[in-house]
Amino acid sequence: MIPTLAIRSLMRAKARFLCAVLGISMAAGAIVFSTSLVATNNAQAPAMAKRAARPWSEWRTARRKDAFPGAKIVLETVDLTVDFRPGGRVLQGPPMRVRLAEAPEANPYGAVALVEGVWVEQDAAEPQVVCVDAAMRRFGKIKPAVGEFVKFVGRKGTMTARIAGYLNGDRLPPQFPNVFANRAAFDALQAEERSAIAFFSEASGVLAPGEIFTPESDAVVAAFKSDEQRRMDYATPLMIIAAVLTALSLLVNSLLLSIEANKKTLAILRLNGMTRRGIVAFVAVEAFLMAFCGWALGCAAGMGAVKLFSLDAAAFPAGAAYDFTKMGCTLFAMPFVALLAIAFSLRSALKTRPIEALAERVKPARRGMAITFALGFAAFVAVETWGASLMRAFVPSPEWPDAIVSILPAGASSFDIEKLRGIEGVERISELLPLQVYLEEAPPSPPPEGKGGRGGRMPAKPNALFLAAEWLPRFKFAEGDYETACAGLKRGEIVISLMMSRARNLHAGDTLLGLKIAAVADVNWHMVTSRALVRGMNRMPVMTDGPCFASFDTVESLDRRPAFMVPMTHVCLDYKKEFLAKHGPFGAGRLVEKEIARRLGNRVDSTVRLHSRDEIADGTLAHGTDVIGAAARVPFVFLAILAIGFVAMLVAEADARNKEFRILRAVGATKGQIAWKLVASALRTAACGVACGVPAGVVCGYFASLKTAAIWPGLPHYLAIPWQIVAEGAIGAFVFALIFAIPSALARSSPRQ
Amino acid sequence: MGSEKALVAEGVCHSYGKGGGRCEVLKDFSLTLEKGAFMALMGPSGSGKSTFLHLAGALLPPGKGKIVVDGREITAMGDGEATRFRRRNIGIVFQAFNLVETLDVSANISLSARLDHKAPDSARVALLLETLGLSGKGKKFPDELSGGERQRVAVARALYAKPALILADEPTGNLDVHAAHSLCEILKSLNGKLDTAILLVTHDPMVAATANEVAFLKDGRIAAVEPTSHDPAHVSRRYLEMYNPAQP
Repeated sequence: MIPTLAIRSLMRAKARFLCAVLGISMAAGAIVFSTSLVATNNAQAPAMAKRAARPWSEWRTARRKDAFPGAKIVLETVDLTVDFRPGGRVLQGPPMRVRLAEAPEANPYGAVALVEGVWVEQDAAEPQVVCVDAAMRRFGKIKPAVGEFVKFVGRKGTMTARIAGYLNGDRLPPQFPNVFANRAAFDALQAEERSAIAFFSEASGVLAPGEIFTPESDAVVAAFKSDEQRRMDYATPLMIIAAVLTALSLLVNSLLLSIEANKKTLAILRLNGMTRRGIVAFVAVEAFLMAFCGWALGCAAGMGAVKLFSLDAAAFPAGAAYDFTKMGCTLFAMPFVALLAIAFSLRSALKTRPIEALAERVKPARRGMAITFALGFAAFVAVETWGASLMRAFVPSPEWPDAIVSILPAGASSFDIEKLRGIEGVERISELLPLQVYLEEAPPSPPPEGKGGRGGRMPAKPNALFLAAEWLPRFKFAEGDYETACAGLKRGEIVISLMMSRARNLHAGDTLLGLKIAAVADVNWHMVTSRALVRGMNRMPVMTDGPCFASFDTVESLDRRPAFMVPMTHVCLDYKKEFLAKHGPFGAGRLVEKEIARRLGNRVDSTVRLHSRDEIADGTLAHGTDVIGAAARVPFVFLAILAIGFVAMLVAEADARNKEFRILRAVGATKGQIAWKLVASALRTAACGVACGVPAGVVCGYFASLKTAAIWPGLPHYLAIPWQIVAEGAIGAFVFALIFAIPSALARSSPRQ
Repeated sequence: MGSEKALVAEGVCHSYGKGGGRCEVLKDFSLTLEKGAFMALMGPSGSGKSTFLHLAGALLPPGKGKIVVDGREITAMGDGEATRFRRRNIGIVFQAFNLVETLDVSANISLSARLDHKAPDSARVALLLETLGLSGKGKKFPDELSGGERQRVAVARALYAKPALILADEPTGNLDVHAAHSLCEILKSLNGKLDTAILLVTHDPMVAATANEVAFLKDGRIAAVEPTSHDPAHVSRRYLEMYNPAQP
């Protein structure tokens, strides 16, 4: 009898049932869709690898071109970066790296066809290149136009070539060149270090040096797997928590409404001898029914959406794939959510005596509404806080100099810093002298050919990046203070970063390479130093535990070369406030960069590039979305679910106050006055929900960000709450709910009923 | 389990509210109802009639005292045990009918069996439908019935489990005169045929006269128990004498 009663109760309250099922299905569907989309993308990898590698069955790399007799094609290659400045703007973000090869007579690729322009003229005096489209695109949109000149930057110098045409490739197999140059362009890169790649149209059977790549190789297939997998792995634990919270809020909401709506029936049953267990059974049947229907609908919708998404056979040759493991997890989560919802909602129902329940008038479950709003909003806030807290560690500290200018690859003379003083708009400028040093106790290896010895002989070992400038920025200090740090630098001591302190358990007073540590600075430095290519120079690994600030004398003492042999590859500067206010970061940067290049003689062996500390303020994209990826869009799904739940709550409140509203209308209250009563009630509920949901969401999001950040040991942890987004989310959900709920409520309050 | 007494209440006390607002409605209340008896319980509004009915139906625990129904002390039972006892041994009829709107008439009548996880006795349901003039209404839902019919369904439900005691709280309060009279006759007839004691709470002398005895509740306790002689005028006169002694 209880299941029959529960089912009938749901059928009589279709709106409540549908809202709960829809909300739960969206939560389940969001997880199923996201995880299955990643699985689908990854499932395409083998087919896409094979397609992209056509017509080659095998390819190998080596140092020398003549290492592969029997190869169909052998090409010499050079690794370069592209200095592409659309509209004069230096693109922030990771460097655009390309592998340039001498062009064969015709396009050597099968699937990657020439779609714009023409192939290079081998004998032309002008350097020309044909590029693979994806290699030259930044942020999916911008690329140099055919006919435009682009500068390519190597380790020894630069080469400027005209874009003759584009190949239409997206992702190429590892090692494949993505730029083809004519003789003039390739010859301009004579001084650069070269490698070779050999292509075979069948298994070579050649005993020759070099790693063998085939379309089926693990490394090749892995290269075609989606970056979204990695990003989704970061976000999955939090997404699951947020989905559970949201589904829970909808379910609790519905159950509380159900208990209120069925209070009299349950009281009558209790009067006639139903024990409390019967109430539990009634609520449990409703809860599991809604949870299961929502889950089933969500899975079906999620899978269907992935199927639709992957209908394009060209883009998805392997069709749709599903992550049944994570789908299975949602199946286990579903009864857990249902049980929690039952626990939340039963308390008041079990406490109420049946005779009291009969006597009570049905009133809206405001406390329950506030709880469900809080749960749903907490899910939204949790994901937003997770993202913001995670990204905070990558945003450069505001104390860092306003800009770093790279002069690469050749640099300028250190004496040339004097030429750069007095530039309009620049408060102060200094050479920024970088030196990466390996940290293990090992005899120094012979210096690389053409370079000063900078120590180290095993590239895989960790290193320290020493930085010297004329002033130490006023960082926050985890140990010591600014004055102690400056005094220490004068004495030949160093200041390390908090990240290094954590990674190596070093503190003020300890030594590193025999140098005493004067202070520990709490500084974020990642994006600035990587964009300006401060790290990873001279074949040192890019990864490091953070900068060590030192004086010029200290850095030069660590370097093996005489000071006059060390070129000035970087400068750092601060703008004058009024100059920055007048021109903005982009405008100020372009003006100063141009002036620096002019004062250094507009050299052709180097390219002058200014990198703003505040990338986002500059208007270019930051590193953040690369880490968070699709998870950044997920919170809005939860917000939509919350809004749906709130609509149901408001409609239910209108139902509960139906008689009151009808009487008021009969006496003369206008629809507006009735609507305002509902709005006021909704505002109170939402305010309570926000007040509870924000702290809960912040706590969840912060701890989730700690877990994600553990992937990068030593990364500083921050709590960053995106207040503006949270406020916009709350207002948006609230307004959405009112727009849908008020008309329905007013329709039910006609005095004629 | 049989007993000569359907209901025994001894020294029952009950109050509402807390602190300064505390109101004691029953003070040392004692009442005995023999098996098969039909007694009306009268008193002015707020005198505690319905409160005692709820106590006797194990719907409320008393502050003090003892209540024994069909030989079992219900005041010593926990909620679960009391609920099961009520399901099997006590029938309750309310002024507001209190039928389950989503069950048809037959399901409402056999509710106690369903709650006991037993198959409903369709023969018993049919008998009760016929006895209470509800033949052919078994498949109808409460909102398809008149007020009088609904109250008769409530009576049928109260009788289904063959309880030792039926408690009726103002059963005619929501009925018109004709339906009220009809219900009273039904109760009287049933009392004659069955071994079930009936305690009927009312402030209506006509309804009270249906019963064999009337108990007058005053100052929280039973002031008198007298035969009704089935005479509404007599009951009315005694009511006035009891609660308005200054009236001629």
